[in-house]
Amino acid sequence: MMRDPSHVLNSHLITAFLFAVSLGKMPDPFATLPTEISFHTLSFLNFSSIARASAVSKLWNQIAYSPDVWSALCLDPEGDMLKFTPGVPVSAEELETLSNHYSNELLRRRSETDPSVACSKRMGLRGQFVSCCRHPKSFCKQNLSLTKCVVPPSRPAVPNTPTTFPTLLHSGLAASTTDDVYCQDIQQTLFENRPTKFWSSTGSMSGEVGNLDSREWLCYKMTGMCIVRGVEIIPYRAIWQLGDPIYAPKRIRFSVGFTDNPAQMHYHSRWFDVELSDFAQYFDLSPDFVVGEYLFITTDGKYTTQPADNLYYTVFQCVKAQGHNLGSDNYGEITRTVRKWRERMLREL
Amino acid sequence: MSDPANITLVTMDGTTFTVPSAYLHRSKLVQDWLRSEGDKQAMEVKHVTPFVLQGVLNFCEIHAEDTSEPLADPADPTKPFEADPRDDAFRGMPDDQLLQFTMAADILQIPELVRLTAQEMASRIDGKSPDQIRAMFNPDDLAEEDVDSDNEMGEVGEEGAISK
Repeated sequence: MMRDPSHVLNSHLITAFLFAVSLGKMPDPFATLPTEISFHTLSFLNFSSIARASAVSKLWNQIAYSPDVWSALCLDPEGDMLKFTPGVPVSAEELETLSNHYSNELLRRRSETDPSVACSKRMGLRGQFVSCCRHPKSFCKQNLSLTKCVVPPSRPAVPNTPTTFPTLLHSGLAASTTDDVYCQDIQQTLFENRPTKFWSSTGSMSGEVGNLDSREWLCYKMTGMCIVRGVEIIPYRAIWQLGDPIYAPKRIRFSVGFTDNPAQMHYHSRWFDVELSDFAQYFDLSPDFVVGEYLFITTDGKYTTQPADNLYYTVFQCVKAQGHNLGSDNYGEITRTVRKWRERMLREL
Repeated sequence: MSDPANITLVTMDGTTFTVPSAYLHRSKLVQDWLRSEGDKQAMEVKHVTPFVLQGVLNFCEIHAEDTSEPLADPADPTKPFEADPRDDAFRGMPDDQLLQFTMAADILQIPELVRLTAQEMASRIDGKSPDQIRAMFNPDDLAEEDVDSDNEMGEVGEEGAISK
């Protein structure tokens, strides 16, 4: 950015400033500093502090209204809002493996994108997110309101029962493995009040975390463009088997994107630990601002072997995603920004 | 001809400071001056007092050996930034001095010092009520009407979602 050199020589202000200091009076910083330094100063603050600063005086109010102040906040709000981030990096090899496996499952042509290229492009696109935003202040306001409106459910009191929030998941696209394709496929996890329905992986020899044999994945299409706040899963308890075993994975990761191919997704969460329990477990993605149309769940490790064959299984009774569908009229600025950003993403991929 | 290894700066009251040029490699103003008028004896920094220039030069000396990438101007506030314990002196100074250093950092165009002082200034504003800020900084243009614009941005409720 080119700067106007004239501010450097604004001797009038500087004289006034030194005069004020000589009187032992603290001068108004924003009346003294060049405007871009004032913007820069405010851009370090969070939403509520900027709001308070804007109430100090007319001048402060004007400065606090500048988009320059808000765009930093929009990309990196501190504490009180969801924060836009690509999440935790996943290695290109791992993504390629997932992507190939995924394409095979769907009987599709292999993706043309080189995952390592997609990965680096995705990082560059983070910066573009803000340039897609025309009114950073509205974006921040809506983001704050969204963060307040969509809150994680409290811990459920009874097992096998999902909490009451409406799910964002529309349909299951594919799973890494399916033990019985007729009645244990991924679609079974979408039913909320049929505790006897479930998706089951096939058995594996290993249940160790990090062992590729113990990994599974599930891919869902969501109801449209959605902000995802968190995901809830219920590991399945097989009450008819000896010892009522629960087939939970040991850890779980969530990826979100505008396409269903995991290698092209722009967000990957950290690994969350899963409890060996048949209560609904909620994984909160905040403070990450996660937006997309497809949810890809990767699980790692398996706790339990099936008594009949001594193999490890992951079985889910129910999977739900919580958040907000951007198709509705609210959150206009977020929706516009995300649409524009999505177009750029898809062009680049 | 001046010694290329050193540079002499003259403040508003004629006080001179001679320091190794390497100290000022992050100052865009000094670098531009060296390119265009480096054959002159001394560079005038008219609008900075000796006390403040001394402090700025201390900062430059502390950071002369730093190998970090030069910051963009203005620095991207979203880049993670860890407080450097060597800069604690700047964090502890009174408000008016901090403001003088912010101005000097801007005049000399040292993005690292601008970020440090601007962030410190921000942390002093952070969490304070408008009245507390007014008491601290004596804003120039306090008029009655300012007081009732208080809640325009402070109120962010559900209706905030629908505004354009």
